Order: sequence, then C-alpha cells, then structure tokens
Amino acid sequence: MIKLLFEFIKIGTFTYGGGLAMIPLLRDIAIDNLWLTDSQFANLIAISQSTPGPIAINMATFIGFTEQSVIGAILASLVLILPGLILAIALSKLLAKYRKHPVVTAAFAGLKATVIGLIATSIVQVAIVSLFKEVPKDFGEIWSYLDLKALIMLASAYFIIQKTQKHPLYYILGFGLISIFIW
Amino acid sequence: MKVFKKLLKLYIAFFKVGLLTIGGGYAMLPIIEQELVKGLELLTMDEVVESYTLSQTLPGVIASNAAALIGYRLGKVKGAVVSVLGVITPSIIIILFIAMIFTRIEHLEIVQNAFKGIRVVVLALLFDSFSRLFKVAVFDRKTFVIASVAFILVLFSIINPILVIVAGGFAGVAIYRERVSE
Repeated sequence: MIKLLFEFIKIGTFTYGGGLAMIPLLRDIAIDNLWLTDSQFANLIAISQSTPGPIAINMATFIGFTEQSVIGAILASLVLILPGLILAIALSKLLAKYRKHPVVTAAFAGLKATVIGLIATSIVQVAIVSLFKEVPKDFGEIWSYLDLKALIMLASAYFIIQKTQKHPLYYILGFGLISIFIW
Repeated sequence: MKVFKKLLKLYIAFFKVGLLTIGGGYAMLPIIEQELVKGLELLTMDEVVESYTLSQTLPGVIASNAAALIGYRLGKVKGAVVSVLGVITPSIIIILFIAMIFTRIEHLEIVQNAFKGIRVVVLALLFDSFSRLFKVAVFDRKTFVIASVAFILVLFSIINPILVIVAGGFAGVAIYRERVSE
C-alpha cells in the first residue's frame, strides 16, 4: 500500500501536461510492479477516456482498486492530486511576482517539449499492443505479426475522427461494437 | 454557516464539472462557465481562462489544479480543497463501479474482442490529440530536438521518465540563456 501511494505521489509531483503525459509514467510503474499487463493497461486507457472525469484520476482509481480495493482507489486518487493542490495554493500566493519571469517561461517551453516526446512513447506502446497479434520479438518478425484488420481499422478511425471531431465516447462505443463481429 | 454554504456550493459546482467532463482537458471549460460564471455568478470567464492556463503550468492533474486555483480565488485554502474534492468525487465513484465489474468480465471473449477494436480507436484518438499538442509545444528546431531526445531516452528505457522531464526544464532554461547572449 505504501509503495502504491508513493508511486502516485511521485507521478503527481513530476508530470506536466495532465492525463496524456502521465500515461508513460503510469505504464512504467504498473508494468514494473506487475500490477497490470500491457494489454490490461491499454484497456485501462480506453476506459479512462470514455468515462467522466479527469483521465489521470480515472486511471489512479482503477489501479488503486485492483491493487488495494476501495481504500486503495480513494487514496491513490487523493495522493495523486495532493502535490498539485499544495502547489496551486502556493502559486496563487506567489503568482503576481514571478509568472512572467523569462526563466520560468523558458523552463516551461522545455518542459512542454519533453512532454511531447513522452506522449509519443506512450503512442508507440499502445500501437504495439493494438496493431500486432503478438508482441514482435525482433525487428524481422514485425510484418508476420502485424494485424491487417487492426491497421485498416486504425486508418478508418483516424480518418473519421479527423472529419467529425465528436466526443471520444462515440468512437469507442462504435468501433468496440464493430470489432465484436470482425474478430 | 454562511461560509459552509458557500463551500457546499463550490463542492456541488465542481462535482458537476467532474461528472460532465468526459476525456478531460478543454471540455471542462464550458461546464465551469455554466456552473460558476452563469449559474452562481462567482467569477468572470476571463478569470476562469486565466486559472485554466495556470493550471497547466503545475504538475499533476490539470482539471484538479484548475479547480484548486479557482477554489482558492473564491474561498482561500478551504475553497481550493473543497473544489478539488468536488471535481474528483464523481470519477472515483464511477470508476470504482466499472473496476468491480470489469475485473470480472475481462476474460470473456466478447469483451476481449471489443477491446481489440477499442484499443485501435484509442490509438487513433491519441494520434489526433498528439498532432494538436505537437503544434503547440514544438515550435522551433530546439524544442523539436528536446522532444526527440526525450522520446528516444524514454522509449528505450535509457533514463527514468521523471529525470527526463526535469532535464527538459533545464534544457528550456539553457535555451533561454542562449537567446539572451545572442
């Protein structure tokens, strides 16, 4: 339990950019601690995006529940937001003076760019579990494991999302239903 | 008693924000507007947008940071705490129910097949938001280099992601110093 809470305090303290930026860190701790498998983690992203509330809270609640039941769920979410809450209060007090300071602005430019790199790694992780029948063990095997149905679905989903820009819930429900019949 | 009533109102307002925002992010702004600007008339939309922007410069969960900043504005420390609790309560309740059910039905073939497709859709959704985030954060060659280096370091697990983020902040400051000397 202490391990669980410690990991979530760490994530709450060190991730910038909200839910998406937390995915690679959450994945790291969830896989390393054997809390979830790769495909369970991908399912969790889907659930978190299609239910109400902040994505990160949804993921923390879920992981907390699978590890330590209801108490774990509540505490994981609480410790996740605690660092931000304390800093938000401190920031509210300090703000007028320093927000426009060029060093602060420069640090944020670097932070945001780093976060983009991190988000890209989580995209690669999700791509591996969703586009391959099995995780390819070496580079030469990539083509034989590639799931063509998934690839076609990805292209059509991306095209439709670009065109319509509706709520993620619609796409998740729609394609979830379709895939029951095609797999 | 008056203070208690105000805090209760804040809690309920942010409970609704948490309940009605699906997928996080900008989706919460119209709901905050509905609840706190039009409904309770406690602040202006300008103040909401300012708090929302600031919330992104803090670590952690953006929605809860935004709630803390707005809550502080309206009720100091107590206001911040109450607002944050309000915005996370619906998530915790709903996800608890889903987690209880999902861990039981996860192994069924129909559920597994549905999730094959859902994972693909999530991938497409990630591509979609990523392209927007990329345009905002990667605005020149230097930020592109920072993003690429971070990507490689984390993808191949060379360095812990948290250290990479801290280094990214310092890299930003280094770029700033360079600009000054130019």
